[in-house]
Order: sequence, then C-alpha cells, then structure tokens
Amino acid sequence: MTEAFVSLRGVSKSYDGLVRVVEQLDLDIRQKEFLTLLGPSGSGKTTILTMLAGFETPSSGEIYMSGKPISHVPPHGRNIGVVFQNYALFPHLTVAQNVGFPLEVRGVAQSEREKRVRDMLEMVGLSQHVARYPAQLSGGQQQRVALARALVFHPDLVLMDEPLGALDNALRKRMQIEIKALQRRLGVTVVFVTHDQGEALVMSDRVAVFDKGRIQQIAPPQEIYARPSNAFVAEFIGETSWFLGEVSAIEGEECVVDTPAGKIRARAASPLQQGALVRVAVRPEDINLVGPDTPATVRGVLEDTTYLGDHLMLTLRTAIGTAVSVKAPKPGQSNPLRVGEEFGLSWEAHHAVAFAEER
Amino acid sequence: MATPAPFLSARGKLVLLALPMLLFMLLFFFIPVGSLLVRAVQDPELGAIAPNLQRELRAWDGQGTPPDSVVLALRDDLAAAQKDRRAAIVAKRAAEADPKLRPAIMDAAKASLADPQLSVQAVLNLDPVWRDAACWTRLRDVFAPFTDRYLLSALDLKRDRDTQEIVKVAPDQAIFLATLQRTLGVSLAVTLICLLLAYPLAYVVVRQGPVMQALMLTFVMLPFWTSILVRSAAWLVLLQTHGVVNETLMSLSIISEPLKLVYSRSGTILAMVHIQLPFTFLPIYSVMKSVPDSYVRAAQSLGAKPFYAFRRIYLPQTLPGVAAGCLLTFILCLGYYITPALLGGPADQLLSYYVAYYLNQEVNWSMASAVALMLLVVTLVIYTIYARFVPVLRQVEG
Ligand SMILES: Nc1ncnc2c1ncn2[C@@H]1O[C@H](COP(=O)(O)OP(=O)(O)OP(=O)(O)O)[C@@H](O)[C@H]1O
Ligand SMILES: [Mg+2]
Repeated sequence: MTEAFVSLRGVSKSYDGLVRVVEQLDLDIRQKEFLTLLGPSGSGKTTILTMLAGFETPSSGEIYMSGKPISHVPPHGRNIGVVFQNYALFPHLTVAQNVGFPLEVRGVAQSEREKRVRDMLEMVGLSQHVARYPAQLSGGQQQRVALARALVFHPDLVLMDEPLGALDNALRKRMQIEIKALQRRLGVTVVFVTHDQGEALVMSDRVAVFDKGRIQQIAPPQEIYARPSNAFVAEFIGETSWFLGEVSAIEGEECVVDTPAGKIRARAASPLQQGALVRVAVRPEDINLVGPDTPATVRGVLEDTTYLGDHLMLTLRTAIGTAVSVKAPKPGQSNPLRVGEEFGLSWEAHHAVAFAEER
Repeated sequence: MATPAPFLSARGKLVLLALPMLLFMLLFFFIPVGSLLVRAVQDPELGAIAPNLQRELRAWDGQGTPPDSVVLALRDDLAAAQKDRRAAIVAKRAAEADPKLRPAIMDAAKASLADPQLSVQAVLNLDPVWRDAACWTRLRDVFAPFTDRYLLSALDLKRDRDTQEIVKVAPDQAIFLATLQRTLGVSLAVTLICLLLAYPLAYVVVRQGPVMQALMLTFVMLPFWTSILVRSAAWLVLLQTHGVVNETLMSLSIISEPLKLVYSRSGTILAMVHIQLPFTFLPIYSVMKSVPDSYVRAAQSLGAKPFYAFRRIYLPQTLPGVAAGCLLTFILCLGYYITPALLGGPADQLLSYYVAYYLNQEVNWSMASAVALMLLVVTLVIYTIYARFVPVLRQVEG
C-alpha cells in the first residue's frame, strides 16, 4: 500500500455545536490517487472538502499533509487546487487571466506564465477562447477553464465538488473520461465529490461512501459494487432487490436464509449467527429468468417491463409481495415477455449478500 | 386558413403600456426642462412692458433713422409704462447698453404721459439721443426677444458695450464660476467621504446573518425616512455655537472655545454626508450581495493572500455598485440647497442657492434658468462620463 499523502485523524466538524456534520473521520488519501467521496445530500462531503481546502477548521481532530498538521494553515498557504460546483470563475477576468491567476499570485514571470496557461488550455481543449470572458462560454467550456485553473500551478492536491453537476448527460460522460485522463497524465492527487454513483464508479481509484458524516465503506469501485460491506452501501450503489429472512444454517462463508419467498443461499457480509435476522441483497444483472417449471430460488409474476435501449429492466413480484428487479436482454420476436406471466428467478449463491439486520 | 391579425402588434402593446409614463415624462419633465432652456435665452421683461415698441423696433431693419411708427410706439408705450411706474425698468435696461439712454427715456416717458398727442418731431426734439441713429440701433438691440446675456453672465462673461465682443466681467462681479467650482468641490468631498463610510459598512452588513442584516439596514435607512429639512435643522441644533456638540466638548474641557461648526463648510459637508450616506450605501450593498463568497474563496485557494484576493477579485466586482452609488450621491449633491442654506456660511452656498435667489429675491426667471441650465449641463456631462465607463465595468456580467 502506498504511503498516505493526506491523512484525516479523528476529524469532527460541527457548525452549530450541536449536530456533528462529520463524525470522528479517519481517512487516508494516497499520492496520485483519484478518491471519490460519494454519499447522499447532507452527508458531509462538501464539509470535508472545505476543511481540506482550509475554508473551515475541524472542530476536533487534525489533518496532515505529507506528515505535517495543516489545520491552521490558511487556504492560500496549502497549494491545493479547488474546482467549485459553480466553477467560481472570476467574471471580470478573461479565460487566460483566470487560468493565469494562480501563477500571477505566485509571481511567475509574464512569459513563463503565458506559456503555461497556453499549454494548460491546450490540454483541456480550450486554446481558441483565451480572450473571452467566462459569461461568453458554455457550461462545459467554463468547466474546462475551472479545471485548467485548478491544475495550472501544479497543486499537491486537487479538490472537486460535484464539478459535473451542471452539465448535461452526454457532456458529463465525456468530461468524466477527460478529467480522469488528465489526472493520470499529470499524476495529480484528486479528491472528487459526487452523489452520482455511476460517476464515482467510472472515475475513481477508490470510492469512500459516506452517510451521516461517517465512512460506510472505502474501497476500489469493483469491490464497492461487488462486495458492499453493509446494507447502506448495497442500497446506495447500483440497484438492489431485498429479501428479509432468518439464518437457518451456516456453511463457511455462506449461509442459508429462510425467507417467506423460499430458502436463499447467500454470502455473509459479516460473521453471522444461526437465527440472526438478515437482509439479502441481489443485483438485477445477477438474476436469471427461467420458465415457471424450471427449479429456481424464488418465483415471481412479471409486473412491469421498462425498455432501456440495450436491455430491459423487469419488475417481478413474489407471492409475498416483494418487488424484484431483473435485468434481461432484449427478447427475440418469437417469445415476448408478457405481463402477468409467472417466472422462476435464480442466481448463484455468491452473488447474494446477507447483511445482519437489527431486530 | 390565415389567423386573424392581432388587434395590436406586440410592439404596439408595449408602446401602449409605456404610454402613461411617456405622457408623464413629457408633461412633467421634458416640457418644463424645455421651457427652462428657452427661459435662459428669452428676454420677456421689456416685451411685457412695451409690447408695441418691441414689435415696431423688431420690424425696423435698424438702418439709418427709424420710421415714425417706431417713435409713436415709443411715445405710447413709455406713457403707459410711466403710468405703472415701470418706465424706470426700461431706462435701467437701456442704460446697460448706453448710459445716455436712461435720462432720455425717463424724459420721454414723463413728456408722453403729460401729453399723449406729442408729435414725432416733438419726441425727437426731447433729447439729442433721439436724433442719433446709433442710439436707436442700440435701443433696438436692448429690445431683442432673445439674448445670450443671461447665459454669458452665468459664466461670468458679458458682451462689451461698444465692441459687442464677449469679455470677462469685473472680478468683483464674477461669482458663478467660483460657485460652480465650490459646488463640484463640495459634491466631490461628500461623495468621497460617503464612499469611505459606505463601502466598509456594506462589506460588514452583507456578512451578517439575516436578522442582524435587517436590523443594520434599518439603522442605515433611518435617516432616509426623515425629511431633509428636519435633518438639516437638527444638525443646526447640534452644531451651533452653543449647541449640544460644542457644549459637551467644552464641559469635558476638550476645547476651550466653541468650534465653528455651523455657517461653515465643514458643517455643511457633515450634514450632507449624513443625508447622502444611504444613497451611496444601497447600490454598493446590493452589488455586494450578488457577489458570492466562492470567488474570494477560489482566489485564496489558488494562492492569493486575503488582501490580494480582495483587491484583485472582490473589489473589481463591486465597482459597478461603487460607481452607481457615487454617481447618485454626486449628482444629488450638485443640486443641494436647503442644507447649505441652513448650515453654510455665505461663502458655502452652492449653485442652487443662486437659482433660488434669482427666483425669490430678484424675480429674474431668465437668470435663474441660466444658472439652472449650467447645473443641468454639468450633471449631463458627469452622467455621460459615467455611462461611458460603466459599460466597461458591466461587461463582466455578460
Ligand atoms: N456553513 C454551514 N453552516 C451550518 N451548517 C452547514 C453549513 N454547511 C453545511 N451545513 C450542514 O452540514 C450538513 C452537511 O453539509 P454538506 O454541505 O457537507 O453536505 P454534502 O454532503 O456536500 O451535501 P450535498 O450533496 O447536498 O452537497 C448539512 O446538514 C448542512 O445543512
Ligand atoms: Mg455539497
């Protein structure tokens, strides 16, 4: 494992002295990694970023950068680039002046400054618009300027707070790839905030899932998706169908769960006791649809189909009323799926995960 | 099928909506201002006293000796004027062109009143002036319905009696340019002091919570809701020689003699600043409210120290408010009358004082108009400068 570059140790933050928006946070940010903070609105993502940037100080705990505490270093002394959600481009400066600003404050000579600004703007594909004012640019172009401005002074760390939130879907997809490529190329450490799980999975080296000011899981995207460590993460990332039941047998990593819909084999997310109440999560793409007479884990009646271009999302309802989402390939003309038909649903045991549930 | 043409085009509707305002502007702004401009070059005084004489003089081409009709009009109008004791006004005005005309007119007026049937020859024989063609020409010029004399004297200039060339008036009569300079100086001082007070204040106010902000705004606005007359009078009470301020300072032994706070420049400026502060404050405040914190934060995260971030990022974005607030205050200051009249000494009066003086004391509308016109021109010039520069500032908002 790489040495931690930035470390948060026991960091808590409260704005009003009553509610802790960030709670006893321990987080290591590695050199050159792309770390995404993912979580629902109000989970404290922006607060963590503002503490890293130095706009807010932690109520308790300490932030270290390269081993040195920085909680009381002012923002301008931190060498951290920030891309704000609304970009915060200076409206009275041109694109070139905006991007040149961090160099200007660092006293970089005019000629050197112009060259670096030019190179940076070329890198983000904006060379033609240097003399324009931010108000004369499209949202995507403004985004690129903000990016160039946050990168041009070779910061140790770049913070981005939902930088793609204001862009349309297609542009957002493109910018995700471009930002990721740029980050690799420049070898810069990025902490990225989003509440879009797709974005987090596409861009990150590691994803930290937050809820109520606490890290729920921090892991590479594949692991977050495939091996969520608790029910919140499983629910928040990707689509999930849930079965509530009681553990009736334990076989190594796996357990058998008795649910009203039938017996389900599942991998235990944490060590479980026999008789424990659990929720079993299954992803739509792991479920196979079989004919009504074929043996299957559970059975359900097709209730709804949603056409999504390259595939269908089916909603089935089991006898006891649990809704199950199933991802299915587009059906051939010969055997269309009919609403009201009964199907069997089956999956491999290791695709189902059982989470302990409070009784 | 063609849709029926709407009763009014979209443009027509807009014009219709703006019509009441346009009418209002026409009736209460453009027409009064226009008549003001005309007043400044019009000379209605003599025409009102001697309408026939004016008509006949203007009908005459001014060459050689005047026809009899002019002489008869002189006789009749002067007789009528003498009856109302107004012939002296004509004589005084004529004397400005030629001193010899004054006794000649007074004599002619008395003689005509005594004998309304005086013959042309008898009139001409009353005084050698009437046999001098050049004097008649001068009288004709005196009766010109339009004149630049008021405009010129508002600029401390006049036409030389003999050469008709524009020359400076004697230094002891030159008051207007000095007053204009004083008006500009006082307005500038008030504007600058207001800016120095309002900018930091607005900066503090926008950084308060909503409750505190509302409270602070109320305090700033409080003077706004009291009449200028009342406030100027209140300052008089506070600042006069044995007023609250002087008495307090003296009882605290900070000063031994009362300070001259009223009937002085400083008292005038103090009271004007107090009145103008909300006008400067509000535009700055509203612009500051629209500048989000994130700009300064961004600047700091990019490495700018707080003061640099303020100077390079925050200040330029608030300049449109500064420009608007200062313009408003400066232009309003140019027109101040009551406050300098109450709190200023004789040497602290601004241009408006002379407008009022000519209207109320001298009843010389033309002179009042000429001074007011000067004020209007200065205001327009300043506004034009503002309009030239502020689009440059506004451009940033796209
Ligand atoms: N300046 C502030 N003063 C008081 N409370 C604040 C302040 N900033 C944030 N909060 C509160 O802290 C909590 C976390 O806010 P934060 O902005 O960190 O959430 P977030 O995860 O970024 O949410 P979002 O995805 O909506 O941006 C919220 O309940 C918010 O109301
Ligand atoms: Mg946020």
